[in-house]
Amino acid sequence: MASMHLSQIRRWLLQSPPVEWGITQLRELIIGATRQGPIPQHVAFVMDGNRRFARSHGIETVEGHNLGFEALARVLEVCYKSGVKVVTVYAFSIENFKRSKYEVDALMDMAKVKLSQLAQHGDLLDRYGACIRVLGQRELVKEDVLEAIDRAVNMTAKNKDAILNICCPYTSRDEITTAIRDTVIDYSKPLPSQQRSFSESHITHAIRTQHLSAGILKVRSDSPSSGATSDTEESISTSTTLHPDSPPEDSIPEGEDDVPDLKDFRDTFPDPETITPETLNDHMFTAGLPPLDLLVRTSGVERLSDFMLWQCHQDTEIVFLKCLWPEFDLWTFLPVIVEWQWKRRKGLEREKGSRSGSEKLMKTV
Amino acid sequence: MDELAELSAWCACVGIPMLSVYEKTGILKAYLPNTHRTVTSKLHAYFGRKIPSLQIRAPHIPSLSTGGSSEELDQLASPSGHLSVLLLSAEDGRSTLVDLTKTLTEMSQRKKLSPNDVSLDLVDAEITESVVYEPGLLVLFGPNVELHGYPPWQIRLTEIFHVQDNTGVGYQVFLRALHSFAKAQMRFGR
Repeated sequence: MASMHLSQIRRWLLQSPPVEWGITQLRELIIGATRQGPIPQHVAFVMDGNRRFARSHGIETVEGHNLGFEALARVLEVCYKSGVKVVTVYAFSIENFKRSKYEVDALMDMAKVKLSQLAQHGDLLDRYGACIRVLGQRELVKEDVLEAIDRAVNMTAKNKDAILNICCPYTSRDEITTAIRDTVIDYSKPLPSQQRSFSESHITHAIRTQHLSAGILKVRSDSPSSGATSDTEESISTSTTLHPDSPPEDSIPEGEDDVPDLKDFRDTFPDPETITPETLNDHMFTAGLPPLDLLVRTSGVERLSDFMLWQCHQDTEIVFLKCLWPEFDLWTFLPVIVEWQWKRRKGLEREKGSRSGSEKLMKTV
Repeated sequence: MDELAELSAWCACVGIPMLSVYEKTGILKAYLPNTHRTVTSKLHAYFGRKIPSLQIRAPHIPSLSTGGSSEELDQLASPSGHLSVLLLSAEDGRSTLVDLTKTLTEMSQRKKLSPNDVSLDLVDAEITESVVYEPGLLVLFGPNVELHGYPPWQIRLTEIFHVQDNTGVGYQVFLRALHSFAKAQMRFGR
């Protein structure tokens, strides 16, 4: 009995105005301190553990998701105040559609309400100049949710300082497949034909005249073979006399049987060999954003679960935390940031050390 | 290389059919015959006469195997089971996806394929066949949890077990990793 009384008193004390003010000041101080070091430009969160939290506290699952949203608002505040430019959150996976209809509908309703709440003037996103972007397969979402999404996006479109990416509904494999498909579509658009001032037929005529006058009839024997090779090669044909991509402005003089073959092959396409990882990167949903620096997953699950697979495959620091998402706050996030800063600084020092070492070596040599 | 051999032996003992080792620079791939010899001798040390049929390979490189062919029938027939060891390096990661994109683009330019045919299943089938299918457990050695170019497509549901120390692979680590994998709940989105 006495201990319960004490905990009541402690809670009342913590909620009293002066103490709350003190805690707020402490939070500001800590965030200010972290700003002194390097700050990750792009952070991703997997908001896992809402349902488990609800179960362990004996509340409804939907209430668990609501508390999860409040945790998100807290974390966004911390991130934007610290100087993080882009925050990406995994709100809903395409796989989550397998859940009960009741839960999926409840989540979608919650999404509508929370999106409009986030985008309100004077609210969180406006304060930090953040705009919302929703990444994912739009076709799988119902009309009314799409409307709410578009409204929120439009309302915050003018904010340019920071970005909040909400992945809903999203799977990384789907994103990669869409990027590949878009690249294929882009590269399948024929290049616009160049309109040049020179007439193809005039040039061939001139060359033929030259050759005839010189007594060499190489053109006749060369052109049938070039017509055969152009059918198998994608790139510009190796014919020395004729250009496949510029359209002939006059009709070709008689005697050239192979030219109709070349005319059909009018279109040239961009060379597929120029496709690099950068190309695919530019077709991802996260194109144009800074590379992912830090990925945090709560609730102790140590998997990526189809989130940001392409983006985090090289240098991203992946952190798995045991706490559940609704419990996530500055105090759990702070050690993660501090450790990231420390590692980044160590990495930079090591780089500087190796660079100066190699310079010294060059000098001695 | 000795550690790789030890790992292969433990996997064969436990009954894990496939072990893949990712090494960013790909140095193990360059020494495939040596690796094969080392692993085979280690398996002999553990199993004695009857070692499980072993196949060591790397994507796009011809494989080396002992203990007969690695067909399904052989797997059932040989009592000690079968172990496939796959060596991966940085070029099996993003570069493979880029190569697939190049091939699909060429096919589309030649009108053999419509862009709408590029579906998740197609990409999955191609990548799985060309590199490796999804690993169930990934044991990561090093100070940070960073993927260093590991093939991104395959690890979507892979349980990641992180070990700080990267000086050696001990049996304790192997056991702990298996335990954590057993504990993990796979809900697949539900």
